[in-house]
Amino acid sequence: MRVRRDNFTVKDLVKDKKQELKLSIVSGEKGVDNVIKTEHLSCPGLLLSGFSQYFNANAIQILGPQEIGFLNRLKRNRLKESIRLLLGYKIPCIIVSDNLEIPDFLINSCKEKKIPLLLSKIKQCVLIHQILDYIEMTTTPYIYFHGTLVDVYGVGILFTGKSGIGKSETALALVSRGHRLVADDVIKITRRTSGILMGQGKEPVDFFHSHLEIRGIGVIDLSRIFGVRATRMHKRVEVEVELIKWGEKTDFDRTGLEGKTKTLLGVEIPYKIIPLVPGKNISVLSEMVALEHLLKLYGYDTPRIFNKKLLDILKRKGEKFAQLDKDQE
Amino acid sequence: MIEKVVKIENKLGLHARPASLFVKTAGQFECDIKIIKDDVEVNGKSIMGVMMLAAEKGSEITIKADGVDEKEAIDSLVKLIIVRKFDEE
Repeated sequence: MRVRRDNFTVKDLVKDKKQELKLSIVSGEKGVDNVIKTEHLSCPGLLLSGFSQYFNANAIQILGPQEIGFLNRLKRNRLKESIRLLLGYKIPCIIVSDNLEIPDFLINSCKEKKIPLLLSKIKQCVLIHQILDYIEMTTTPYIYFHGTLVDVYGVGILFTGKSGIGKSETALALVSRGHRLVADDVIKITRRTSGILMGQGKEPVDFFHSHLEIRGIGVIDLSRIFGVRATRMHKRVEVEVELIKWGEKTDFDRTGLEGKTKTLLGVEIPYKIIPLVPGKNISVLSEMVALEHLLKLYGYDTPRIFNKKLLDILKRKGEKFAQLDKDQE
Repeated sequence: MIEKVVKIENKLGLHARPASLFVKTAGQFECDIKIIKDDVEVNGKSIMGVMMLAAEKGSEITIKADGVDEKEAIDSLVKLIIVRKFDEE
């Protein structure tokens, strides 16, 4: 499985965020194909004052009231020097926030150096949060996974297993019991910086996400049949359930104490293997997986607590027998 | 594992009928079959996956087969796409 990561350019940023960030290109349009290679941002105040160590030249450079205020207070020569220092690096672009007035020399130099100079009407701190959010959404690593993702009682269960094992049928049974399908067959899983896995269908998501293929019936559209409650666009992936044929494997986790996990994109999630036998109700079992997962999240680990109580009983029983041993009557 | 890049040449691209022919052919073999287009990889034995690729006329797909009968699988799939053109022309 190949982990992918999309590149994005200044052009993408302007295209996707123009309205939200109230962006306009002031100069340096020729550099809009510059690739943004890092998820960090830089406010180059210290660089403008002459301290260039640790400067992150790959990052989008944000100039806010402090940076622009600082430049405006410099003498003409020092101002040129500071700007030349900043533009001497191969920076992807500069964004000036708060609709501030930009020094002419910066505008002209950006044009000359083909470095896009953008102006935003939004406050610097809001701008920084918005751009960081956007970078996270567009550059997170992702994989395409063969499986079916269903929201069961709010828990995202990823069903995996060989083609034809019954993943789609399981999803259909779950949806008819009131749960929601996220995606079938091709799941795009992304990892957010916070270590959360998000799953969605193949683009265009709004078209593909509600369709299932059921052997013998064909392609069906769940949102048409069950209504809007039957599907959702994306969902956190929390548990993987692998469906296998009965007899393919014999060493199952019989107590639930093992707590097997699987690692996807570096994130560990609980992993269950369920064998299929005629007469076994996979949708009820899947609901159980979801509910057990929730119980565990809320601090109640049934197998562990059961075993603890069992150990207590065994200990007490031992004591009782010891007492009986002393009883001579 | 064998990989092969092929161009889709039938007029309407990989719509329902050719996709179903593809998965039926792929399903006759033991080996794992994957198709890749524009960085999206899908299972070649699953009809939804193949249709979701939305491979139009002229687009290139990579077929990957891995298993005991990989050679025969690739041969039949390539024949289906290039020689038979999904029996559409």
